[in-house]
Amino acid sequence: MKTNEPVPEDPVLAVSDLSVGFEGFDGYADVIQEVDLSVGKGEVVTIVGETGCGKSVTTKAITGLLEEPPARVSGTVKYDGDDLLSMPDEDRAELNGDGIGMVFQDPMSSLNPVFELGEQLADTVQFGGTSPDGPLAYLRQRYSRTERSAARDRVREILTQVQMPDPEGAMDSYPNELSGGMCQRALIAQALLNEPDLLIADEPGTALDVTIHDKILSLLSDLIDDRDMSILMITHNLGVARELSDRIYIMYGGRIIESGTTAEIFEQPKHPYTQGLLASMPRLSDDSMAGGISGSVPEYTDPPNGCRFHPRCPYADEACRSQNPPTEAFGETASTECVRYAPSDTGPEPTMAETRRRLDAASQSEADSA
Amino acid sequence: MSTESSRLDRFISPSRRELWYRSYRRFTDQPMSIVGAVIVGGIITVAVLAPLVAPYPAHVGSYTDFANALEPPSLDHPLGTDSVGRDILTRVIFGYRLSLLLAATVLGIGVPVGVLLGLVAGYTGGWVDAAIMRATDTFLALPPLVLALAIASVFEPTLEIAIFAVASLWWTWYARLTRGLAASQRDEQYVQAAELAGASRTHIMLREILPNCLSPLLVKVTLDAGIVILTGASLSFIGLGVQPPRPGLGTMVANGTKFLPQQWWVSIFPGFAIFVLVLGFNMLGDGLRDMFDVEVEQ
Amino acid sequence: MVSIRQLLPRLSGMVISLLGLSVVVFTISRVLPGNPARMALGARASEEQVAELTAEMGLNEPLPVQYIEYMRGLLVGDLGQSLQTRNPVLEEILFKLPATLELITIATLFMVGIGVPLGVIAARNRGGLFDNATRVFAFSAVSVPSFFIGIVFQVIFGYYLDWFPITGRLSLEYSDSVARYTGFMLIDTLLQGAIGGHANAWAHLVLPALALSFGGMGQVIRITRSSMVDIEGKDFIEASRGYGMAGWLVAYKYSLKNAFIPTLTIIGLLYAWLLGGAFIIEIVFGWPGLAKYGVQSVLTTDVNALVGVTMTIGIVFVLTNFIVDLILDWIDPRIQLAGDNA
Repeated sequence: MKTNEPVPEDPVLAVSDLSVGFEGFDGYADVIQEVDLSVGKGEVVTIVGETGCGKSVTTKAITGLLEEPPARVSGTVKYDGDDLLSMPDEDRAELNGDGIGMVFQDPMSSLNPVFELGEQLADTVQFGGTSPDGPLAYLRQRYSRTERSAARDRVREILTQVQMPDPEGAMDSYPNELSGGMCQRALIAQALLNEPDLLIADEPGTALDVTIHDKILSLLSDLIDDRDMSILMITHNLGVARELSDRIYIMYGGRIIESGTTAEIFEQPKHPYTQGLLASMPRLSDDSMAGGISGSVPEYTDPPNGCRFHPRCPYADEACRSQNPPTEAFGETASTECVRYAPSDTGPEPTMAETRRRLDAASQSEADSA
Repeated sequence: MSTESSRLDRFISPSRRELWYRSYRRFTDQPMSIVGAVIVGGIITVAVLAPLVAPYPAHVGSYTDFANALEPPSLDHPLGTDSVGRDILTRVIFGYRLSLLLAATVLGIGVPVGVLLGLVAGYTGGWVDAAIMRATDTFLALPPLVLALAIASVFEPTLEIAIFAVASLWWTWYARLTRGLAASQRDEQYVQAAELAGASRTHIMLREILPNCLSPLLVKVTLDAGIVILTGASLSFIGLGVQPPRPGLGTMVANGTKFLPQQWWVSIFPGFAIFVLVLGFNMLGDGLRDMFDVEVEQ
Repeated sequence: MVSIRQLLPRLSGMVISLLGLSVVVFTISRVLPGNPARMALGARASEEQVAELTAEMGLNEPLPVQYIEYMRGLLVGDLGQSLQTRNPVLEEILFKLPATLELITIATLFMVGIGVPLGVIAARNRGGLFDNATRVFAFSAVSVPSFFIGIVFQVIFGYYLDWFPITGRLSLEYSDSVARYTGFMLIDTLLQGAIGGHANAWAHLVLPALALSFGGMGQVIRITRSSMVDIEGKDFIEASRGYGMAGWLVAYKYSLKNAFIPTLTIIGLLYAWLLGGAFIIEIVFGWPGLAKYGVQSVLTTDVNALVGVTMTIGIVFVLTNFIVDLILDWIDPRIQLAGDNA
């Protein structure tokens, strides 16, 4: 979607027209299409979407972790004004180490099992982003007393900041000796070690159980308050998005279908999908059971014509099947991609109440015919 | 590219036909598998048709023609002649026959025995399992060649005894493999369903569990064919396998060592022939392994 | 590190295997045709002498009794007398074992030292020319009979190129001057400061060890390559790249340590394989090791030697596996944990 929000002054990250496709066994999968997003200095921006909508692929494209065949990436990703996609690999690696920090999704599998935590993290301090010239240089730096202990001091410092219990003990342990919560903290620490300007967090805490998840989120909240970092977060959990973000992008089927400030998204959602998501959040005050949006994410090797959401949309009609939905802007910061909002369209504009009604009716008839 | 987090889920489960097609593609995508299949198929065909295909079938037995001894490769004798004047190409073809016979017999005995014992051990568990496994461990504690040597030397060294010696060890690997597979299948739903339905243990072992173990077994048999042939050739080389004047490939190499390096063809061609056959089995086995997507302990 | 609790079951397993082995081997040796006593005394001995020696050797006792007698002797280091050489079997074995061990150890070094780097480089250049060439090489190495490759090496590198000697452990000009301390030529020459002898010992080792290593090398290459490829796809490797670490550093430090584990697992099996393959190589290269002695024991029905040799090989094999298990424990912390929780 070509978003219309005014690009923040001097954005840390500006993604423009990003598209990603994969060569696969069954054909070419057109996954990410025309994604625009930006993150300003000190902003917390979240991409929200269900599993399979392409949010992880987007972040991997930004950090350059997709293997180029079979992936095909096009568009521009500007970090501090430099396009990452057209940069040579070594410069890109340098940025990954220093300017951009990434917190990976699954803490249990994202740490190397055969190295002690301290070893891995200290290596990130010494060699993340500044690679040694060769094996001899590596050995020299690794085994230099002063350099190594400086690195380890830094690790200890950050581990304390992420509220790791017993940082010293953790550094001497192997990842499988640590709990899930501790591993997640270690991952966050690893992203912060080199003082990044931009932190990218992929479903932080999702793989852990609820109480730990909460603790991690409050940790992130503290970190956000303490530092002047920009954060790009991914989640499928609306509650998390609401709690931590300044702005939100809603992603579906590889496209950004709605964007706006947190308040705008939650108070005045425009796209039927967003409304459906909000409608299906369980509420304690409601009597009715929340209905979900039936159906599943599109098959990327053979996506639907026109709007990618139309097979599941309660407002879909012929116009939705035949044309790509245009982008409509609302105010300074919000926009959405839906045929119903096009000035020439005749159908009703989606509202929360109407969407809820239509979804309930649809799930009712599904239950009846089952 | 991380397979865990960046591959998108597929929501369509592939049809049976598609699965077969994919397996077939996995095999044919590797040129080496096809080469292996061609080699093995070709050699088996030639060996079976040996009396028809070989240029000098009479040279297989006790034939001597000293006038033509130690002739270098020529049009008459593409692989040359050996120390008593026999055509090497003919003897290599018949040698392939013996090697394939060895492999077929050893595996024909060792595999069923091993698989049966493995099934019993894996499915029954308990002390039966422990007893059978102790026995296999004992046999596995020695390199096959050493024990085969010891056994082969108890009687007159001949091909048949060598077969017996090698087969008597070979079942252990299959027992181990099958036992592992059977033990892991024991708690599967289809097994428990059969138990509930009152099927006999034999039925469950043979008709339920065994078919699910076939793929890894097939891969291992193919790869083992090569190893058995190598072991047999080594025994013949030492003098404990095929005895002259029978055209055992290892025996031929041993006899030719006296004439190195000037009349190199007497040793080199039979040796190379062994290499080609084993290479074929290895490539074929590897292709099968890719096709069935299996991990086999070697 | 490894606890006693983990060691005990393994040790007892070892002992049981060895006991079972001794029973099998002993039985076989007594079943061999030919009267050992007659072989010892020679064809010209009289009936009474043979009968006397037979009784003395305890060959008339029932088998289990003979076995117990033998085990008793084993515990005090008496393995009987070698019928072909008249020397105590233990002495013969101790004299010849180092030669075989030296050969096998150098072969293992070749296997790992050449095989692992080739596998790693092949994995890093996946799909390229190097990868395919290495693959073909690995397949070929596994398929070639060890006696054949030994002979080919002798012909090419020995006769035609004359780069290396093709028999024995030491050339004539050195063999008199080098005294025997440990039996390991490489060590003994160094201990005496005989640099020329040392180089010569290496020269004699190259061809047989290389020929012996071929089969295992092929397997090491393939396993290393495929586990490197496996590990490259793991989340934690992707994470390392995400932190901006250089590609070669990620491969050689972070991937390799993980990928080496499967290789290490098969090294124990490979050692056994090498023990078997050493027989052939020792014969082809005239290497005066245990294997050659073992084959001759079989051919001459030297029962004491036969049992001694096979037991020795069994012990070496079991010990090696034990050591490999220890190293595995040390490298892979996950195994330790499993052991503690078991």
